Amino acid sequence: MNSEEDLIRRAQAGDTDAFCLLAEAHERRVFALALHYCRDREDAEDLSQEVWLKAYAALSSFRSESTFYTWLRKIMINCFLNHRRTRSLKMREEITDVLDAESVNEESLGSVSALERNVQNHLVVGRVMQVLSEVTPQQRLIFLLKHQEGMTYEEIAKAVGCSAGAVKKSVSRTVTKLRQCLGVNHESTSYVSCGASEYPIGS
Amino acid sequence: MHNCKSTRNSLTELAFDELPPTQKIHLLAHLDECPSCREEYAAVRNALRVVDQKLRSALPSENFWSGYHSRLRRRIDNVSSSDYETRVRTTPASLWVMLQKLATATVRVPVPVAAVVVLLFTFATLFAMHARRGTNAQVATGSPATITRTIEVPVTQEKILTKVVYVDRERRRFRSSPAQKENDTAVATSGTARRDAPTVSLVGFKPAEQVKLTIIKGSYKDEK
Repeated sequence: MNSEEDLIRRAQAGDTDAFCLLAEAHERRVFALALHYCRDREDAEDLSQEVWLKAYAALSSFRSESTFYTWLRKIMINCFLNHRRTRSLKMREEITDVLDAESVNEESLGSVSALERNVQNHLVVGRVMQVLSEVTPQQRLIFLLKHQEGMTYEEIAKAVGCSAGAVKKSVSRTVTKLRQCLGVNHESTSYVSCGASEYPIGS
Repeated sequence: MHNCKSTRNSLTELAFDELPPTQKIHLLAHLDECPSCREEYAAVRNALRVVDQKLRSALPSENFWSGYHSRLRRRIDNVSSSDYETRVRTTPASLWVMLQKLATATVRVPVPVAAVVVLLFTFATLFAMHARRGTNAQVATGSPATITRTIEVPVTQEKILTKVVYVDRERRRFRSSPAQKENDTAVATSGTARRDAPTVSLVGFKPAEQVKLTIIKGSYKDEK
C-alpha cells in the first residue's frame, strides 16, 4: 500500500522512486500554478521542477505537522517569489503559446463553428494572460493563490509576508482589471464554475 | 440600509467567501433589493468563471505529462547521484580542500548594507582616534596648569629673631634722659632694625634654624 505517509517515509530514507511517486501525485497542480504565474511553458517547467528539486533537498525537514502539499506549497511560493525571469520581454503572441496546439488541431478540423470557438478561446486566454502579465508578480501570485488554490486571505498574507488587508486589496484590483479587460457582464453565463462561491443571486 | 459603494467594494470578498457571516447576510439582503449591485456581483462571478475556464484550457494535454515526468525523474536522479558522490567525496582527505574553499569563500551582501557597514566602521575609527587625541591633549596640558597656578600658602607662624645687646651701667646713667632711654636696649628684628640704633649690627648673625617649606600638590613635589 503506497499511502502518502508511507511514500514520505520512504523518500526521507533516500528512496528516489517513492519521491517520484509523490511528485506524480502533485506535479500537475504545481505545474499549472507555475504556468499561470510565468505565462510561458518552458519557464513554467523549469520553475516547477526547481520546486520539486528543492522539496527533494528539504524533505528531511518535513515533520508531518501539515499535509505534504501545504508544506510543498510553502516551498513553491518561495520559489515563485525568488523567480527571476530569464527572458525579460515576451511578445504578446508568445502568451497565447500556452495553449496546447494539439487540442486546436483536433477540434478545429471538425467544423467551422468549432474552429471559431477555438479562435475565440485563444483570444480570451490571451486577454486573461495579458491582464495577469500587467499586474506585479506579487499581485499575480496572490490572485492565483486565491483563485486557483483557494487559500484564505490570512493564509496568503502569512505565506507572502504582507497584511490580510493588502491581500484583499490586491485580489480586488486584479479582479477589477480582469473584469474591465474581459468586458464580462452579468449576462455571460456560459462559463464553467470556478473556485468562487456559488451564492444565489436574487430569488 | 446598505450603501451601494461599500457593497461593490465587498463583492470580490463575497465571491471568494471571505466575508464574516453577519456581513454576508446583510450583503445578500442588499443584493436582493438592489438590481444594479446584483448585476455587478453577477459580472464579478462571471469574470472569475471566465478566468478559471481559460486558465484550465491553457494547461497542456495528456501527452505532455509523460515527458514532463520523465524529465523531472531524470533531474531528481542526477541530483541524488551527485548528492551521493558529494557524500562519498567528503572524506578527511578532502577536508583541506574544504578549508581552502572556506577561506576563499565570498559572501554576497547587498550594496546598501555594505555601504552602511563601511560608514559605521569609518565613523567608529574616527571617533576612537578623536577620543585618544583628546586624552593626550589633556595629559599634555596638565603639567603647565600646575606650574602657572599661583597658590597662596598661609604662613602659620612668623619667627622673630632677636639679639640682646648689653650696655655698660655707667653709660646708661649718663644717658638718663627719657628721650634717650629707648636706645638703652636695642632690639634688632630681622627686617625692622632701626637706623638710629647706636652701634648695634646684625652682621654675622645667623639664625639657628633653617625653615624648610614643602608644598605638595597632586603628584608633583616642589621643594624650596
